[in-house]
Amino acid sequence: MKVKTIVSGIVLAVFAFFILLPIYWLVVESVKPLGEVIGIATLFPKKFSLEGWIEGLIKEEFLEFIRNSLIISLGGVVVNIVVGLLAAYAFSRYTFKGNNHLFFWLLTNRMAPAAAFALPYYMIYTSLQLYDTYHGLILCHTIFNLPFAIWLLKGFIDAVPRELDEAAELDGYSFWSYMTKILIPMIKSGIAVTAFFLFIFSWSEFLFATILTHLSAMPLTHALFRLFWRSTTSPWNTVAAMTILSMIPGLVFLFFGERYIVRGLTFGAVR
Amino acid sequence: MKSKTPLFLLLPALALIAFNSIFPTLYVLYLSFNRYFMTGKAIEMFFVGLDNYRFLFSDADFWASLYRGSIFSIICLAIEVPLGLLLAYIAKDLPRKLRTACTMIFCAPLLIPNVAVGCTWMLYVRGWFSLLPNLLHRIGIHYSLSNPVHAWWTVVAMDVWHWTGFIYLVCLAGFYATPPEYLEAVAIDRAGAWGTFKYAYWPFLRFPLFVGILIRFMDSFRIYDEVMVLTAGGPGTTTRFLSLYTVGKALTEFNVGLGSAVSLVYLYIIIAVCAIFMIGLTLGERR
Repeated sequence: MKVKTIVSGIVLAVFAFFILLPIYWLVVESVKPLGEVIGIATLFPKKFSLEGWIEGLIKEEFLEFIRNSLIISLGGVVVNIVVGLLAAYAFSRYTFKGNNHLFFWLLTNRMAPAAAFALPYYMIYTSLQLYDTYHGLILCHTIFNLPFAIWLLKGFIDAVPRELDEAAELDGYSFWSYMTKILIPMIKSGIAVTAFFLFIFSWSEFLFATILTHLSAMPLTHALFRLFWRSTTSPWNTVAAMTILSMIPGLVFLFFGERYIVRGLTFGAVR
Repeated sequence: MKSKTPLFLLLPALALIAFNSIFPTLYVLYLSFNRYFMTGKAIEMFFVGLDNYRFLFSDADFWASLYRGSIFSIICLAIEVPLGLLLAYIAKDLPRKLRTACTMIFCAPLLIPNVAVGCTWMLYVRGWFSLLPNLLHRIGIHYSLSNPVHAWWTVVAMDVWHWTGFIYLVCLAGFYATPPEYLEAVAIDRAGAWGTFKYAYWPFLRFPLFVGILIRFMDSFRIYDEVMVLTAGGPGTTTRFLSLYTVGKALTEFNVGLGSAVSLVYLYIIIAVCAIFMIGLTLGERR
């Protein structure tokens, strides 16, 4: 028993070490001055410096890229929640011909490989003058975020008893007042969880961001990639600092929404 | 209230998805039968039938990247699934606070952008001035990202780093779904550790683990972002998976016709994998 406990502890510790070591290195690199980052590797910074952070936010204009990312992600959250709620309600409450097929077809779009759509999106979005615009990217992100929103929201709406619909109807509620006054308040925590996931997926999206933006709507992920491949002498401390910045929303969600993560990442199949 | 038909409610969602999925698919289908170069100037497009597909299927690079991707998925799953299961098995008996700490650490890479994963690993392994090559050098391994074997295993390690937490979470959910009565019953029978696992936990673990494996298989098959950042498919074509091949052909060679054919074939490979996933999921639910 004793030996088993020790071995178990070692396994957990080794894996935690494997996860944390690159993150530790990232943090350390971000607070070294440039001269030290391209010098010999040291486990601790000899001189603590916020050079990388300041350089990235001000000179490399990451403040602007963060703003772009926020506009795209938050705009996408609003669009997908509104459109997704309506569709999820329809799938939850109505049975119509082929509803299961339609539902599954919608879901398969969540799995659509971005790489296959890179070329048609580039051509279509460019010719419709949606290239390098916020609404273009918001529109394009609906392909993976909208099915996700429908999928997760349907699960939350299913949990609301149907009798409530009927009672509301007898009380003379219109559809819209039922939605805004009864249904939405009842599933508001579900909506919040969905919204957070949508935000993170949009915030993290990379391939479409690289092919559909080049300057004015460039989000953080694309900017990070550019900073990185721009030259052979990348400013590694800046790269490290901006990488940490891009992780913040995900880590915040991990801290507050830990128990929802498994549900979101398995599309509600595992709770 | 009943005046709202489902069609009316579904219309916005269907319109958006149709614009993003059906329309582009039909468009690339059309383009894939043509010869068309994207070179800035308007150039005539002409019908070539199945030529693009013929070229694609005779391209050794295509088959090599398909093969490479399949091997990659299998290796990643072969490491992540047993490891995640083991970690969850150990962590389930920990006191709550310690378990939460483990979950936080193991799952930290799950919700960060893929690009950030790539950047983190690039900083970690990039060369003489970074941590991992330095540590490995001390034990006599001359690590370099331009060595094909090292690059391949670095990408695998990065995927394990990124996604083992997911299998861990899924398994933990399965362990906690096991009703205490089952555990009491096997304890009375003195089933031992293996018997407890097999008779008490496994019936409840099976489905979540199955879902986790399928999702993980699909995701690893679509991998693009992290590899693009870390190796961009190199050195040579060592880590050039199907997604990188597709984007490379579609967007950097200006050959729109061929690129369309590649995109479509890639899409249908993923759809086939996805269909297996869906069938598996419904079968798994029924059991």
